[in-house]
Amino acid sequence: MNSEFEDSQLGGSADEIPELRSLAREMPLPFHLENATVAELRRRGLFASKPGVRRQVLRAVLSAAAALLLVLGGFFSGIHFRPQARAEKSTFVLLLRESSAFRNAHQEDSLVQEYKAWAREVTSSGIAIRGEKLTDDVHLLHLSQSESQADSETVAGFFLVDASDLQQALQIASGCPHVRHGGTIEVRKIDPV
Amino acid sequence: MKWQGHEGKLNISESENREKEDKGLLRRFLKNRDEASFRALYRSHTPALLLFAVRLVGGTRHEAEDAVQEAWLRAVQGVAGFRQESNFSTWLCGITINCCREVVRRRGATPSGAGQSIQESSMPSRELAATLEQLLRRLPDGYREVLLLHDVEGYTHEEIARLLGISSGTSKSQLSHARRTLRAQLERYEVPAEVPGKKEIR
Repeated sequence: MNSEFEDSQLGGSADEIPELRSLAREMPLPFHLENATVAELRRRGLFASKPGVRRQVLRAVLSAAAALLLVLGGFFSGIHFRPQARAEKSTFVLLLRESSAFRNAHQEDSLVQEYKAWAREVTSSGIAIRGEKLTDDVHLLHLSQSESQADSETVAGFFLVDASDLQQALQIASGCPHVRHGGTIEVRKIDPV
Repeated sequence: MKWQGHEGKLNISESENREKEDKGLLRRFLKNRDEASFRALYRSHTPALLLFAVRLVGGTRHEAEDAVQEAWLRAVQGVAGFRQESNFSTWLCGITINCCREVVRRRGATPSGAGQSIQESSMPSRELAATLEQLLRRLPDGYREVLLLHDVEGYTHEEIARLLGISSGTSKSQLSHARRTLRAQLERYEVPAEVPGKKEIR
């Protein structure tokens, strides 16, 4: 009874639409959503509040041992010990990529306002960020000639952001409204040469 | 989400591995109830779950995110009642379907995100994929649910019957109607030679 229908899963059914199989199965994970979900779970008290007694004892022992090691380490490293320099920040570029479908679906002006508001928010949280919007004119320079095109995916603008590591840069980028609207952000660390 | 069925044998072992991994993550979370285990579980399931929700809701990405967040909250709240013999991703999918339906109901009948694109990075043909996504969005809710679950997510009719609370006969006939509708629209659809909004270049 079932077999003829289960066959369709192996590609045997006549009315199947094979193109559906080529559709993407996953999409990039938005960090802001994960953090919002975790925060809400915490608020509702759905995580274990404290580790068990045995684990607490273990943790106390481990931290005592670690402290001892630190003291000894400090003693032996003697005068060479220097307080660790503050974590150095790197600059990352966030390339806002968008497809032609994205351009057709959105009002440019309102996006610009939204992105500006977001950048102000990031700045007020103490992170240096600056950005520029690019015009729609795309000129690709090749060896032989200059080509001008607005192909399906282009870079619409970019932000430069100072972050301590890639993780933080991704975290910041994931909050940008461009992602929520369905655009892609390419996050690249600037390689100082 | 489930992976078997579509891409042939190669992916079956991949899906088994994944299932085993998921079981480990789930066990760890059930035992410790800690944030780190939850995040691992969340990261393993959400990329597929979110895309499924985007398609099912047929609206904005924002609405799909709401549905997925609500699904996870309910899943964690009710995870003690989850029976290990069934598949966790199937169970999670069932919750997500309910949350998506609620989002759609709250919004009313009109799809709000017409024209929103889904990122397709590894598509052989972006145009075709975009067309398909658009047409999927226009299918009646019942057709879309069964078609997505069967042809995109790879569930069997028995599983769909349980997920949606319908008979497997209904699932089969809905799928057949859905495919016919989609096929007809796909044939009618012509990819425009010039993408609207594309700049004329001299």
